[in-house]
Amino acid sequence: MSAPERLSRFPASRSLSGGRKGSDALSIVEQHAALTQITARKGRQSDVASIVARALALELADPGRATNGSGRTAIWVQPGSWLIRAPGSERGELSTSLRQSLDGAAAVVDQSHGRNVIEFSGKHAQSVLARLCRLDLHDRAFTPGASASTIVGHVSCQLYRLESPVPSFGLIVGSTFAEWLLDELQAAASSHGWNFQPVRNAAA
Amino acid sequence: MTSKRLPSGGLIDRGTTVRFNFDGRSFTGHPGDTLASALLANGVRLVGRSFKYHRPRGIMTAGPEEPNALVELREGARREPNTKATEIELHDGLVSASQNRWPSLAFDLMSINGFAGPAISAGFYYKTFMWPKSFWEKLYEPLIRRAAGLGRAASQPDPDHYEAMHAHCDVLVVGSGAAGLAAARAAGEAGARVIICERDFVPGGGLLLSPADAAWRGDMVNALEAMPNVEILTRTNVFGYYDHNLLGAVERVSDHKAEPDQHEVRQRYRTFRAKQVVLATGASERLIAFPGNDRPGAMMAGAALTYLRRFGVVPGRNAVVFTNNDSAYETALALAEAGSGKVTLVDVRSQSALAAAMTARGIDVRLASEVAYFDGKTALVRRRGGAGGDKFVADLLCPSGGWNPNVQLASQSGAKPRWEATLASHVPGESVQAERSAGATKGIFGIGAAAYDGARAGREAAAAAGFAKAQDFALPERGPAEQPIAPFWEVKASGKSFVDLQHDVTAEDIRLAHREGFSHVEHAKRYTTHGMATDQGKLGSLVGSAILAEARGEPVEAVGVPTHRPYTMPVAFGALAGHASGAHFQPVRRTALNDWHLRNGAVMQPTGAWLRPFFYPKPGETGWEPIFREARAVRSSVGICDVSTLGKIDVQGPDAAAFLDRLYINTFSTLAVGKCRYGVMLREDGIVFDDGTTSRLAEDHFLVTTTTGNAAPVLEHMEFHAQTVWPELDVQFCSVTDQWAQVAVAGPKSRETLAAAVDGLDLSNEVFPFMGVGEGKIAGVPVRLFRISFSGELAYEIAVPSGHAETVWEAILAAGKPFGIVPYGLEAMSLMRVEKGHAAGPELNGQTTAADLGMGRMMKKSGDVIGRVLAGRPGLADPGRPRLVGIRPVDTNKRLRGGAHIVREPGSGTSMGWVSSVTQSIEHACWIGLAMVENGEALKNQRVFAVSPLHDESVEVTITSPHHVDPENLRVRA
Amino acid sequence: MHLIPCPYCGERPQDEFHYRGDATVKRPAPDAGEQAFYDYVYTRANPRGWHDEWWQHYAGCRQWIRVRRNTLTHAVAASAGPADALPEATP
Ligand SMILES: [Zn+2]
Repeated sequence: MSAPERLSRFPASRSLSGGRKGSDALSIVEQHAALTQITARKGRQSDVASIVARALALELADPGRATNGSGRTAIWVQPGSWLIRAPGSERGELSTSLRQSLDGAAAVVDQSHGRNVIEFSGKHAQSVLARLCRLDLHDRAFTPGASASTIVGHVSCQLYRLESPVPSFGLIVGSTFAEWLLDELQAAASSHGWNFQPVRNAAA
Repeated sequence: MTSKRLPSGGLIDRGTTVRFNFDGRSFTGHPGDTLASALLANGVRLVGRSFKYHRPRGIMTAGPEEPNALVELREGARREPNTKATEIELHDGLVSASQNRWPSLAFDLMSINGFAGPAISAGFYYKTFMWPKSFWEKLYEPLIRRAAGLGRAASQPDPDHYEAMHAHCDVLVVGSGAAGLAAARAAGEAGARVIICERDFVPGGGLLLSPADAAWRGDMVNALEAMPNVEILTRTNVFGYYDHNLLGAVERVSDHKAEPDQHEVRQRYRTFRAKQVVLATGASERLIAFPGNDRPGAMMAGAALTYLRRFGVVPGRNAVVFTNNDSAYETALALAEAGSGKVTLVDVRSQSALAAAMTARGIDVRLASEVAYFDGKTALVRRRGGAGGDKFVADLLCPSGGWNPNVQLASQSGAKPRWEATLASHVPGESVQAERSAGATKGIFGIGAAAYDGARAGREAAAAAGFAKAQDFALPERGPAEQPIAPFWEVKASGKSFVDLQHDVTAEDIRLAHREGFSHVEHAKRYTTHGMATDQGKLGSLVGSAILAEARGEPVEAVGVPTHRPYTMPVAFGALAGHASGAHFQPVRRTALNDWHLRNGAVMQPTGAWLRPFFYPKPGETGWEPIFREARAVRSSVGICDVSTLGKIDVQGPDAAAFLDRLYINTFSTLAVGKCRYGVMLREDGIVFDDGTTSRLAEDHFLVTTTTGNAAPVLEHMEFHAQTVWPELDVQFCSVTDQWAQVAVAGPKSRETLAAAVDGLDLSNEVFPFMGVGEGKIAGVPVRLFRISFSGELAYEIAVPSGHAETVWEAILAAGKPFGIVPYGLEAMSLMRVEKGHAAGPELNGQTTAADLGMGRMMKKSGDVIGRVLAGRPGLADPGRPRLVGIRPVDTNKRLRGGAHIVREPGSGTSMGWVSSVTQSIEHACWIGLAMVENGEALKNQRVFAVSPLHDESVEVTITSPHHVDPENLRVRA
Repeated sequence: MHLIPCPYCGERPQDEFHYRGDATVKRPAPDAGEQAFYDYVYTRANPRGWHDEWWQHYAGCRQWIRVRRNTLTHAVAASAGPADALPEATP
């Protein structure tokens, strides 16, 4: 589709090196993603798991986890329900193909426009998130692959830790709250001394 | 000038001089000073006036228990009242002022209260300022406020920022004295995640007063700083211990600077969720009640030692140390070592093994004696309970009534304090939460003993958190045992003996409370205000209890102390609010069209979390003009409105229809695919919960819409019933509110407008009738179309994936241009819904039934429906209940008011109902309204009165159908 | 801020939950009559001590879980999923 797609009003994804306390980079990047929620019909959980494994080469995650496969991520959201994240190029098509392959084994709902995906990373990412979230995100407690639906910046969020050499987190938030959350993230980071500027080559 | 700085010693940097200001005078001090130590070093003796009697007061302590030295810190917008000089870290440019004095500190007219002494006894305010009532506002309150004022808050907005931060750890150690450092080290060595909080700006606690242990303190701090699993937080006071091992604290990030650095917060509110807690909060020295124990020059023995050892300040020249225990002997020694004048040690005990050593240092030791009087210049020392005595020249009087372990946090955690006779004080009781006390907090005194106990507590805490590895480290020597304390509370002699200096409560006030029946410690506290000041009775609470106990003829432990509650120290509101103030107060929710609204001049208004356009004024338009213009455009041609805030729930599954049949009073299983239906749902108690349209997208796929405000409650209601009441139903649902932006296109020209914009859907009335649902494309974007109407006109709603909302909105605007399409806001929408008589928030107010709203017949004949049974209760089924009607003023020039009562006759005291919604109508050129009126149906076309006593208005109105516009509902079907 | 142990998500702070109250009452059959529904909606024992309650983990897994909470001490003894039973009794 050629029509422009709006993410949040956040002017551009941002990152900056050099806070008051040192030169550790911290970045906030809004990702263009396809998101589809699948919820198994009664008693069809294992069918759903095997169909998704076959169709997308993706293992569905256990509670509190996110799994990766073939460039996509499956995030457990509630019993019998997962959010599948895929690259933005798969918007629309991801839901359509899942609906076809699941063939009534699960409710399939496109949430590509319903949620925004924000990636937040840097050596001090946990310290910034500690201002917005009450969960323990320490390296020992919340390892890559850990995922939680929780409250970040007073709004419900899916928060998960990415595989990365520096602490990196995915934040999936209702699209009508995305601007609010981005503002809160920036404010929480600025009290550490960071001041965000748009960077080139980030998602528009 | 009787106090002065020593040439050496202490933890201050004499090489650097900082300038500060107190009451308009300039002074100098050194880094490492507190405001109190710097004032003492400059010979400042008088720092404040007391609360009730305006007695002159000096610095009494060296910590948070300070009752006297309350100052206003900083100026202008940053002025902060009631800060304790003993807690303020000195910095260059610090500006402070004494408070509670009028007109000046040295000459205070209010000190006349002191001469009127007996008149202002306990309970004085309760007894005096009662009658007559009319005196309260004009006379009593201003008088009390002037007399009672404890500093002035800033009147400008606080320019600084605050934030909250939530931490987790295996072991939280509160306090960094010998016990705290050892506990943190032991837990840290075991591998646990440790956080250690210190209220002070230097870690060390009591170690800071012991030059012999300086090296050990340094080693411990270095070792802790080197551990990646240990975090040391100084300037961080833990103020509360809450359920499930949550502790709260305030970190004073930049209170020691004139202004915070760029991006720096002033204070940080912190929470700690700890697996295990070690409380190493030390002990506080308690007061002895004797006449004149509040005079400038009275200073707790431990505080005097602190000023000598930590700050290198001699707090007076000729000193009398008055004690019932061994700890004050060190103060006497340190004073003698400082070598300025005569030191006298008065011990209530008749024997002391330490007396000889004191005498050898030139200290005059008086055993079995007491101080009967102090006036700031002389002290009267006599045999215990005797008459007469010797007068000593003394500008410093240092009482020590023993030490109270700081059990506040343990007590808050649920561990009931236990009386320990050997200390004549309370120690923490049996743990309820995952906490343990260590060192002086537990009544274990002396640096070596406290460190040893702290190491044990740290090891145990780490092991309990799953870290069993033990690693030894060096601990200081344990000293010899102390001689037993002689419990001693009050010197019985004439004069004012204070138990609470900040609130001016005397021993006599406590006895008065008892005589007047306030004998329970909690009652005595409130009657006398003992312990209710900002120092929270740290000095004298137990002394007051002992005096009360004597009056009751019971032991102290039977009386106890008032319950310890958060906060252990005053906390600024700004810190608790954190970042959540101003624009960050609560989340803001923006629709996908928010930018368009802003760019096109909408007046945005928060409604709940949402920002919504109220109207789009054109230049020159005022008042109702933009609203009328927008509504007229819809009624005469076409308008477009952002209705994205509606709740949307995607419901799927083989049992989806059966589930909806139970949720709504009407039936959805009979709805055809491609159609939508208006539905009403009740709460289980029979009251209307929510309404909205539900569309059937496929046999097993529905889209439910809810009102904006009920989107979240309706989803939770559905989840509760699907998960717990009917788990057998195979139904899946989730919110798609944010996935779909929704746009209403309304007005007689809406079909023509959309026909020009929509591809792939025939919009003719035959193919796409009222309540039809279809799919098409606008500007290449796949959309869902619903033929539904809120305005009462021919109308459609278009759901669009929210990322494409603006594209679609613009395409519709372009298509509607030939018809003069206008965007309309919430106000025009609201005007039209009142005209049409749609029930909304004011009518769905949690009191109305479906029948009240004229929808009683929607209830299906059979089947399980939430709310059906209780809606049938006689009270709810009574036909005489207020019913939804319309009202119009008989005199069309009169305005109507929401909230007005409906009465038969003006002046009637009997209300027949109320006006729920009003608007100015464009169809009727007058105000119209909706009202809930008893027997409303039967009153159609009758005249009644809408009275609003608040506005002194009474308007004669005619009861009409609620449908002020198109009651036959022809327009929506056109 | 209490910790509520969600059987799916683990211990979470209380502000992620909405409280509904008594989980021992059971919705009556549709034909059980007015008194039965009245009791279901209004009649509560309000115990001092252990109480089985509904809490929804609305900011998490959105499950209505049963939580056995002590109304006196705020201790939580057990929790269970919406369709699962709590253990028989807590001493
Ligand atoms: Zn959960």
